[in-house]
Amino acid sequence: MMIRRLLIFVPIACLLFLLQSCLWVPNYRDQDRGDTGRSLSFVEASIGDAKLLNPILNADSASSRIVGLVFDGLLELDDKLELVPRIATGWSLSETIWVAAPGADAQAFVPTLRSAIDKDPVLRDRVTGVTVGEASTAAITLPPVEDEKSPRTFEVGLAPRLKVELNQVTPDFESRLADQLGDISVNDSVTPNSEDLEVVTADVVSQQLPVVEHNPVLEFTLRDDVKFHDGHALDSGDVVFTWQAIMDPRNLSPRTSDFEPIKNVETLGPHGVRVTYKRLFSPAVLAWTMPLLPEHLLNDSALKAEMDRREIDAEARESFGLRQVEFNRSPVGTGPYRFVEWQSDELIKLKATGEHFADQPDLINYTYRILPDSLTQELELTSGGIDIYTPQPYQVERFKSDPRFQTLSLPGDGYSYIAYNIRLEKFKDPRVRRALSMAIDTDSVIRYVLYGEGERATGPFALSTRWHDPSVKPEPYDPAAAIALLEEAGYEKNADGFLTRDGQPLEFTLITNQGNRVREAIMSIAQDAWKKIGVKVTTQKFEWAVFLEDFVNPGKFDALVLGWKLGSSPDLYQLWHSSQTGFGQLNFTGYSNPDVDALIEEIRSEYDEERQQQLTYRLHALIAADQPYTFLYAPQKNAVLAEQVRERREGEAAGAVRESPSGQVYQNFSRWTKNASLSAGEG
Amino acid sequence: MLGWAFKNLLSRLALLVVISFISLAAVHLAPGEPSEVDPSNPRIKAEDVAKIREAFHLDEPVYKQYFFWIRDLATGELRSFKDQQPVLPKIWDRFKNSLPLFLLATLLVWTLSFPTGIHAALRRGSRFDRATTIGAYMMISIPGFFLAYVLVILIAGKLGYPVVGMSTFGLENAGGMTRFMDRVWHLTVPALLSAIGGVAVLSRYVRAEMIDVSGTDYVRTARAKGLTEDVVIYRHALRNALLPFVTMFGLLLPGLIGGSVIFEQIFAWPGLGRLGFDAILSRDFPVIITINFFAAVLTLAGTFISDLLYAFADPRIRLGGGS
Repeated sequence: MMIRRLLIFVPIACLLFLLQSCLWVPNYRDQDRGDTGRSLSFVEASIGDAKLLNPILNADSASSRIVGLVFDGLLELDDKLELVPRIATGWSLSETIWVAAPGADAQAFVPTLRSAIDKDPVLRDRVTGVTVGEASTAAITLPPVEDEKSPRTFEVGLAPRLKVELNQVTPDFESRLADQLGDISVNDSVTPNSEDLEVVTADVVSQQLPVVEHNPVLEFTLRDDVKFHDGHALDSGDVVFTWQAIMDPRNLSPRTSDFEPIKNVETLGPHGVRVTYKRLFSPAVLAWTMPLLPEHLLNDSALKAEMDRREIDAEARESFGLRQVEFNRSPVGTGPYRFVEWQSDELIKLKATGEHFADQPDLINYTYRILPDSLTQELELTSGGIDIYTPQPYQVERFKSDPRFQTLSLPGDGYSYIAYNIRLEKFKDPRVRRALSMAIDTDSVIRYVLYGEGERATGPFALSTRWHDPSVKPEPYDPAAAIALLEEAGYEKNADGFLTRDGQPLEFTLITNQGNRVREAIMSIAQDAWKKIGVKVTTQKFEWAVFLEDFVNPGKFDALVLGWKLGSSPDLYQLWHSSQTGFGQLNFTGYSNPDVDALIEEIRSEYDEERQQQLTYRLHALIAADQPYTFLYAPQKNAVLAEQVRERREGEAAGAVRESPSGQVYQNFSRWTKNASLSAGEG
Repeated sequence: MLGWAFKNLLSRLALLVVISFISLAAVHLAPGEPSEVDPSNPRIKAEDVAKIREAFHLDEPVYKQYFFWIRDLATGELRSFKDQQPVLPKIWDRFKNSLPLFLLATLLVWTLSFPTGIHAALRRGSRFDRATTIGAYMMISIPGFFLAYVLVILIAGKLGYPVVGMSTFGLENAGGMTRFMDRVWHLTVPALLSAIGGVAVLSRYVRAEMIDVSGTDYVRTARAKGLTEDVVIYRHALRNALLPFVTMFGLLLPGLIGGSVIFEQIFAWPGLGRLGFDAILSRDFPVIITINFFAAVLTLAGTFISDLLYAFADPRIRLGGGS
């Protein structure tokens, strides 16, 4: 019977055909089956796909990784997180200071200022010239009146001011000048329009247009051998263009805050750039690690050509900017790798150019694979499909003891914390917050929740940076002292064993986002620890978006568990300054300490790293003493590498990949190589 | 017949509009905003977020957003929030990846279920029947992702064979046959896994249906006529038992979208289900709504085809003919 035979034969044939296919596939022991280029390739995996391969627009770690290989910045951070030149051969900082003359008579003020400068030995050395500038205008902005949305701006006239040139940034210029000239707080050279006089008062003027205006100037000299991957030479025009592109409102760049303080970027010939700032703003130098865009592919005429080619309609043309260009999916940079292809949610391929001015990677093929599941990633590592894997804390021990792999352990660049809503009466007293910190056994959290893969955090800076003061001690684990401290703050144990003050028990809700196991564990541990000292705590988990929007952004919470990922900047303005406590801003605990504010501002206007470090140490101690957060731990960063991956070293044989003190896994990526290619090179 | 089809299509079209509007409203009413900006990045300011919201019309009322969506979908200008790519080609690319997985899994389900089910029905109470019954209930009750992980750990962890992705990485320069077999291998494991649940369920149906039909008068008559057992079973019984399955063909269609989100996720298969899942996670509204729309289209088309097929297969049914 035909049907019967078909019914049995077809499925069996199907299954056999499917199963025999595994005989053709390369496996862990035979990686080179079918392709011998594997040993010249580096393959990396990521949970999520990149979004936009454009350095001024990307906001996710996958895009940043690719962009970092395809593009170069003027500067970069070295092993010790120090700024070193990359496309720039060097940079220099100087300053132009504008001084308003008393009585708006600039000419008459020149000799007075001259003699004041000569009397101060520091200024005498630094000032290179005093001239009289032109009359100009300036803008004053005031917050919007009730029913309007945008702030109000008023134009004011500025009488000629004195232009003082200095060979280095001098943040204390006005205090030195005041020592010689007395009070210089009233700006006489500003003339508001007559109809604005009511709102643009002398107070407003002296606040927004002080007598002394600092214009720090940053000058770069560029290498002359840098080429984009399409062969076009990079010049100073590309630097100017990159800045303009970031500031162009059409592009909605998330990087504007670092570049907004720039007054002007101008070229000094093809290989020189001068950046003038509106005010003292030291994080600005670090911002120039920003990779540079190719002007010739993205300027207005290139954009127009692309719109014509893609037949974009008139309406879409209006808003057509760098967010819409095809460049974002096939970027052209100056970096050691050039872009080859991008298959959405599958992979991104790069290839070494071999012509880079600084990096000559051995691993000529680079592939970024999208593997959304960490178990899949682990299995790809064991079957030779990828070369690096980020293990979960509980897997670290297993990988360390497996001879097939090498494990890197790097200091983390972030920290986890419990934040308290300081707007609430019960958290106002720093003693209460300190007591809550002392009740939690953080060392045990690190040991049992993180399997030892973390370090105690004590303050607001990343442990791997120089801004972190290692001498600050964490709050000790001491429940008895915690109770004593709470009693000092006015709490007493009631009949049920709960701490109360004026009849009010100390009770609150601790929340965190759903899906982060470690945070959920911390939440339970804290709840239990606090219960032991007599604090009543309930806990709740929320989906990330809800957590953020309904609780964190409006500041409507009691306490929460969260973490920060930090850069290497000493600037803590957005996280800790009291002006950043509004809706959706990052100082969501409402923390406000005038000393902290002053220090943060001083760090922003201090250009000397030694001085900055002294200031960050003080800031660190201040915040640690206030305990607006219970600083928990900085998670260790771990990476497992395939045994074949090696690091080239100068003057010696390539060896195991070393852990960089910068805490960056890929710090020395351009020197990585593989065993097979090494022996081929020697043979 | 034609009149019925026309009226039916019209009402389905109206239903489609209602469904798409509700799905758009639901997506917008759900808490959470497009995560265009990384919330843990302290460098992004609230003003930047506001600017991005405005550019994507996120502050308009829902009916206006519905209008924008329809307009952009019709003109092909609808773009993903995530990477600014047009939504339709994006969905089409992923559809092409999902299709072979879906076809192979369907093929396996239908070719494996029938022999198993028929054999179990014919040997009712036998060891084979009991074994397949237990097997089927196990496969139905064990979650797919669990089985997937067990298989993956076995094949990739212990045996060292790659199983994730659409092909083994780095085989671009290998021979054509190797690459083809590699594709087949990578298709095999996820397809087998997505087929297992289907085989378990469908073979049960086949068994029940065959048992049902075996007791009918016409089968007894066929036997009484002295026909061979094979003719009785495969011509008289099986044909009638097949009738309910004809309609199931139409209902397969919606499985094309989101048929195997879990397996696509585990096996890093860049299919449609994963596109939708990722879009939901990153709140990529245009992609979510458009995929939803196509799912609705396929479901409505599927039930429509089912109705038609049934009418053709079963002469007792007349569409639109009054009683």
